[in-house]
Amino acid sequence: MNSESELADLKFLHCSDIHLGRRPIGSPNSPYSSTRYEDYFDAFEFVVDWALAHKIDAFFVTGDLFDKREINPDTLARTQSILSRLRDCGIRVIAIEGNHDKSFNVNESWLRFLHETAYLELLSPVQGGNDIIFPYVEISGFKVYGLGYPGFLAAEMISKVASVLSGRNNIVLVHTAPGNDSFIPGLVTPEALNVLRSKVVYAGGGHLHSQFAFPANDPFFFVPGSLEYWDVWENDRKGFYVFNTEKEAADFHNSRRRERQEFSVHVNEGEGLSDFIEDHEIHHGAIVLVTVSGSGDFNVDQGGLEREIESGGALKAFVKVRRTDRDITLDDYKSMSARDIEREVIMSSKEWKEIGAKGEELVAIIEKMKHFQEEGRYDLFKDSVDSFLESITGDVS
Amino acid sequence: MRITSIDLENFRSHSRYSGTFEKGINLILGRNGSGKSSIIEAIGLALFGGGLRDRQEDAVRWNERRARIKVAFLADDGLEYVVEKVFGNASNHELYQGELLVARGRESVIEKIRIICGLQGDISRTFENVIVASQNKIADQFLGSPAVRRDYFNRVFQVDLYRKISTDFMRSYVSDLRNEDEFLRREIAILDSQLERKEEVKERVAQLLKDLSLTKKELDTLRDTLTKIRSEKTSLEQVSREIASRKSSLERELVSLKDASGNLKNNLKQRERAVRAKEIVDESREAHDLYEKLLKEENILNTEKRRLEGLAEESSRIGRKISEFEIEITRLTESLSNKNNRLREIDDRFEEQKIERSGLMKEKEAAELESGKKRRAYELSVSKKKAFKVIYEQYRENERRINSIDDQYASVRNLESVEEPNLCLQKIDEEIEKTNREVMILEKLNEAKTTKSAQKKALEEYEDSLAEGICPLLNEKCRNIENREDYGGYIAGLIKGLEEGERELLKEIKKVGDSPSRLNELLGEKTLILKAIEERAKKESEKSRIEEEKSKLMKTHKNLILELSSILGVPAEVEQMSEEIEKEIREASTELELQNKQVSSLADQIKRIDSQIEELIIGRKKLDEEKKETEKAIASRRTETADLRSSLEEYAKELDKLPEFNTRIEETRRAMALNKAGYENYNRFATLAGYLEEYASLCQSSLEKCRNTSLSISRIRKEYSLLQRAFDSERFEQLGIEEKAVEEKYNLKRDETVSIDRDLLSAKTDLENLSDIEKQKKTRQKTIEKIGKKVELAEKIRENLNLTGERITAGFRDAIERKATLDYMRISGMEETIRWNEDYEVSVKAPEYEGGSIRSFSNLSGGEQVLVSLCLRAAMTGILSGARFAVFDEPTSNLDKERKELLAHSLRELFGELDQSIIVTHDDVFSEMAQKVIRLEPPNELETQ
Repeated sequence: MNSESELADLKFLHCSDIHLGRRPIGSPNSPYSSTRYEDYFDAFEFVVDWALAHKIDAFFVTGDLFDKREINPDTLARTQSILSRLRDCGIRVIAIEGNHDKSFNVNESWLRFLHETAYLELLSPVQGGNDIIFPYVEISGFKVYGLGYPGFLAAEMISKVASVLSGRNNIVLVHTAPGNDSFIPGLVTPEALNVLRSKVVYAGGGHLHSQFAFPANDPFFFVPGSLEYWDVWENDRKGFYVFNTEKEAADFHNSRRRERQEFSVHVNEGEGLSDFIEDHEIHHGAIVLVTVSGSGDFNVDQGGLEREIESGGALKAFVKVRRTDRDITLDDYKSMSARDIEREVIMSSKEWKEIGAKGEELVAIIEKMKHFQEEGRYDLFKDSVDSFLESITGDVS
Repeated sequence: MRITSIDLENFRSHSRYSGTFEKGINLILGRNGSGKSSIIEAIGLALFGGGLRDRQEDAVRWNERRARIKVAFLADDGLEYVVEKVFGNASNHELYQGELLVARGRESVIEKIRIICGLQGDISRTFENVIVASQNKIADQFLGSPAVRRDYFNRVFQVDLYRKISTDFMRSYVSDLRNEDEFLRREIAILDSQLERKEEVKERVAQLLKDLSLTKKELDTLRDTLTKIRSEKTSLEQVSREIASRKSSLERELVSLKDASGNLKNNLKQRERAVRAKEIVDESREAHDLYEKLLKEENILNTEKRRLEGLAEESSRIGRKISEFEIEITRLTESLSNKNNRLREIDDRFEEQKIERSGLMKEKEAAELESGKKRRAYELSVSKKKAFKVIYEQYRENERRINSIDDQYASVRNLESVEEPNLCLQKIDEEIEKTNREVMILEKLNEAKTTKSAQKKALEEYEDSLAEGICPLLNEKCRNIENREDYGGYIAGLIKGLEEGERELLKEIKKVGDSPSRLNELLGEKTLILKAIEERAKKESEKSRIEEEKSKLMKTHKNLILELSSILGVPAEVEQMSEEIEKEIREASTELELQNKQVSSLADQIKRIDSQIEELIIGRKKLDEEKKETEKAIASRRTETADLRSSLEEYAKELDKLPEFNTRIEETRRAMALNKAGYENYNRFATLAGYLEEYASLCQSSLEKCRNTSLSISRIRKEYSLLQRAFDSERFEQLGIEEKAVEEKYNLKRDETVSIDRDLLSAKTDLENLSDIEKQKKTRQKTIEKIGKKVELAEKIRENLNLTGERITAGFRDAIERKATLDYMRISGMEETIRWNEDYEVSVKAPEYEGGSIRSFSNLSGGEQVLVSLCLRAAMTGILSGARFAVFDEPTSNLDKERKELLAHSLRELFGELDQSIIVTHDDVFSEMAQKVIRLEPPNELETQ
């Protein structure tokens, strides 16, 4: 019998991006602000109730437990009270920092404070001599590593931790998610994540507020999404994962959050939205989101409609107007970057198209040519250009 | 990105410097030599690896060995990074994220910063040319000759790399392709020479194939002949093997016949013995059967006799047991009567205790009733005390307020003795009027004195010119003066007269000289008196208020005393009342305590009796159980004794039969002795007589076997002689010789075939190799074709790279021009557009509806030049750097006030939306718009605001 099959049958609960202490921007003393402040605690309580009822073995939080680096006393006290319920039942809480609650100074970290007062166990990489050391905790034969929020260094950190993992009974927690989106800093490319595949039984991610499992077939990297809507326009799945070590499978469970009603309405030229309330059933206490689309001359009083929906029982209403008859013009992009211009010039060039080179492939090869020329690496330059020309002229038989 | 803090050590003029920066516009303000620009240099060196105005070693502070720069900044991923650079006699460049070391060494630190700050290209160049706008360069970049401008902006745009690739690596690549082409052609020539042999090899293969088929046919014929010989030889060998087999079978049959006749003889002898035994058995059968019957009867009788003997023993054991049980029953009966006595005693004691307890309970209830009364009395006293205390405190407070009002009243009353201030005021007003008059006289006297001194001074000054007859007023000769004789004496007289006048005036002045100071004193006094009058009025109203309040308080005082005495029930002094209440509480409390003690003593006694009753109940219950146990034991012993007695009676009846059994056993034994001999003979021969039939059949089968074996022997003999006649031994030998000869021939031919086959294979391989070479030749030809295409494409790529570089430059220029125009229109409020042509020449074009006239940059006003330059600069920062961070080093040098103000306004409009901008200046025109102002003083002392 090998050591892997001797391990106990365990259940680990994984949630992320709880954002305790968050208030919506504007009017800090409004009922909406106070209600939403409570919503984040309610969502967290719900998960903790679930964990206690189902007797899970450990509770993972992969970043952004708090919405801010600096929190108020009320947020701290309530978080301690919720966490103490897990502690009293002997459930270990393993947490990492996210971009919202990562402190720039160890002495000012509230998560570190919760660690030192034994409400949770905080994991973060530390500098040891010349190398970065990854501390871990052991739970019945499984080693749990925490990378925190590595920002732009996500790929590098993941590759470093992969090099120190041995066997497969490892769990890695990191506040990042797979993606190539340059608008959200701190994501990591799927290729960079793949180095973990053979080294972990489970990898827990965060940062993105929507549920996501990677890769789609036989996933090993799981992002549960935030528990509550961080931004009211977020509309994907949100919740928490429960990983069963014997089955090596993770089940997704929805979180409990504020009701959110989303409507799309179209307005014809010369019309308004006076019948909106009569035509739509507004639920008491819900957040109501309305997208109004139309073209030509139409009349929508956004603020008025919002107030009307709120007086109909909604906790809060947001109305967005989208004109369908106007294309986005260059002026809308206030600043095109040099890189955008360079890409546009290359991709729209007639001369390159004439020799059969175009699109992303062309941009990539020119980027490589520039890079190798700057680096003085003729060997790599030659290889790249040669294989590029091969692809244009066809394979040599 | 934005910088959050900087620490410098021995860098330029800074021995030690620490400063923090904010989001938005930061101003570093200081005079020349205060080290403002050094801070920008430090940022450039640590973060971007450039931006120093001279060599790195020269940036170490004079007489120090090493410099250290530490810059903390926020990157676009929201994290704080710290870069630390040490140089001089030690060198180090490190980048940290929190406490984690993420890069070390200049190259890797700069590369990492490039990635995390979203910068492109050579970031030191971006810093020097795009991020930092140096002294005076804001507008200068757009002036100068086309060649200078092109050189500068090509450097800024970093597109010269495209041309470089075309002329450097891409050119090398084309020449590599051409070399490869030449090499391949040489290889093809070599391959062609090898292919010349191909036809010859083909012919050889055909010849060998022919030879091979011929040899194979011969080999087949030989193989057939050999097969025939071998088959004939094999059939002769078969006959020989059968002869040998028949011979051995015959020998086996003869042995078998001999064994069978021996067996027959033995079996006949045994059969005779069995016949004799049968006769004896028949004679003794009757005696044997009788004996067996008697033996059985004897056994039955003996068993019955032994059972009866056992019954006798059991009877005597039961007798003993019965007498034991009778003794035990007597003992148990005694114990039972004993227990009954004890139970009666316990019941008596229980009744006594119950009576005592009910007596005590009655006493306790009475005591508790009394205790309740005492408690209520006590609580009444306590609540009285509480009420008394509340009102007493009000009473005390009221008393304190009366005292304080009395004090206030005393202070107000004291003032009445002061002198009537209105009279004083009248006196002082008269005095002031008088002094005022004196002051006016003094002013007039002073004026007269000044006039006289001036006249005297003028006479002294112009004495010489007057001597010439020149009038000092007209500055020309005056006849009045010129014609006067003894003008010296005349002038001296005039001066003397003036001096006398002066002296007179001084005397007058002395008399009234102190009048202004006196006036001041008097005015001061008057103010004091006015104040005193005001104060007095205030005091008056205060006094009446105090009197009113005191009367109110006195009324309250009386009321409170009344309330207090009503609580106590009798009127008395307040202090006495308080003591009375305390005393009442003490007494009530003592009585309550005594009563409670009595109640608890009674409760203790009841408790003690309860525990005794409890003990009695438990003892009785236990005794009752023991009594029942004893009764049960007596009953059980009696039943057992009765059972034993009935068994004893049954046994006695059976034992009566014993003598009869003894007689019957004796008779049977005598009959058995008479038949014993017959019984024994029968047993001895019965077995042998049983085998008689078996022996008879054995004799029969032995006889049968002898007959069969004889028949088989004669058949085998016949076959053997037939086979011997059929075998031809001469033919057999001849076949052996023939076989050997054909075999030799066959082997020779076979070797010949193998050899031809081998030659053929080698020739074929040769042919295949040549086809391979042909293929290689074709491949090379294709490669040459492909290289040709590649060369063609590579040359086009070289052209395209040059073109792309130019187009990107144009793209940058267009985008910058467009963005700058939008900003320019927004800030200037005009419809004019900025134009920037391929020579980087800037101009401004009026809208078409105003004629669309174009003004060149040099023809713009100073203010317009600054604004246009800043708009272009801001657009460049936005498009080319990606860092959302800008630095301005002394942007106001040589600008007039109006331009400075325009610059300040525009900077906020243009750069306010960046993450951070830093302006280094000695001019505080920017102070108002900055989020943070850092003031630097020359001796490196920092003061922040």
